[in-house]
Amino acid sequence: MPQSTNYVRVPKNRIGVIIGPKGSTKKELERSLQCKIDVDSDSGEVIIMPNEDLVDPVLMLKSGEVIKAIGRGFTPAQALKLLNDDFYLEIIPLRQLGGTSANAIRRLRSRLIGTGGKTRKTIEEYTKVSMVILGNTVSLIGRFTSLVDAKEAINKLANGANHTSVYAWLEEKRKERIRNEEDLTWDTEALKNISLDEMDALLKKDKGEELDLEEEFDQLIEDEKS
Amino acid sequence: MSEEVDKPTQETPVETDKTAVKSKVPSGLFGVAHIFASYNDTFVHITDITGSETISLKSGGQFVKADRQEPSPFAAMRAAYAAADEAKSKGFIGVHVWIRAPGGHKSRTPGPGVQAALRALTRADLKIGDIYEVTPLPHDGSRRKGGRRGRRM
Repeated sequence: MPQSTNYVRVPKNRIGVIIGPKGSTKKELERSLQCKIDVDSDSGEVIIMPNEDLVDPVLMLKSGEVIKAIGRGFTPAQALKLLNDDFYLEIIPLRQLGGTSANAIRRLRSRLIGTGGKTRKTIEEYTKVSMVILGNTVSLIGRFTSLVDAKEAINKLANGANHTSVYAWLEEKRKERIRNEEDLTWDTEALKNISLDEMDALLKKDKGEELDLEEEFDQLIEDEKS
Repeated sequence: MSEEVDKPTQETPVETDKTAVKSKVPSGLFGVAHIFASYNDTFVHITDITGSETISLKSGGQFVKADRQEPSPFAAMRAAYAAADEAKSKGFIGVHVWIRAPGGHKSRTPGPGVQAALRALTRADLKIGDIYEVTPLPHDGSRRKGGRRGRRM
């Protein structure tokens, strides 16, 4: 299998979280990511080398993301949720949301966290994503569809929307997600176990519906001719 | 190279079909799979090692009906399978993978299709060579679209 080394830089105050007491967290991460993690405590550079016997190329991509997530303020347990294929990481720089001055960033942070963390808690509850605000970034880990909604909510708040109206919008979106829940195209766990034949069957099924329509159309034309 | 993904796809596959028949690619060839995953779609673009000759170009939207499903893992998987099949029929046994998000001033994290597409490429019996992240990252950047007063609806 290929050797692709990942390089990630993390803030110095998050290095301790990656290593953990007496290196226990690092050991745990190395086990679940099947890689060797090398932390430079001075510069904050983390080098991730996949094990030689690693067969899953997706895991190589993910190991970098997990470390990045920890660097952006998630706990290792939260970051390891990314190993599930359904969970995605989104890092939004606060500068992108408007305002580059220190005051503007501070105001954005407070708007997103809310009094006693109320806003953050509400967003987390409605969308089931984990949300972390650290330094100049907001980071989210969650399922894709809810992640998009959470991101949009953050955008709304940053653009000056009322907190109450954003909560109402989130509730609306939550209901919409429940309606679309049984959409198989998003079910990665099911897709992982699907065989090539089953995929073909699905393809045929889809095409079959279209063909029926075409046949009907052809028949209509023939009927008109006769 | 991977920027060309967005360009019209009508002519290129026809051209490469001809060249593939003429030149008879030797067996055991490695190509490059450019996976471009945004939040709205996933492209799987397999080229030869130089990146200038398209072997196969498939996108998620070619395999599902609803717009909402275009970036889904399922669509990405089908696109990757289809692209891999075409590449294999033209004599390729493996690919290096270039993964790309929109980048620039847009999202820097790839969309949900990447993992599914990569899995599909492995399961379609293509060897995976090196994996690179080639999202274009600006050193200072350009302005986001929408203008000063933002998007008005």
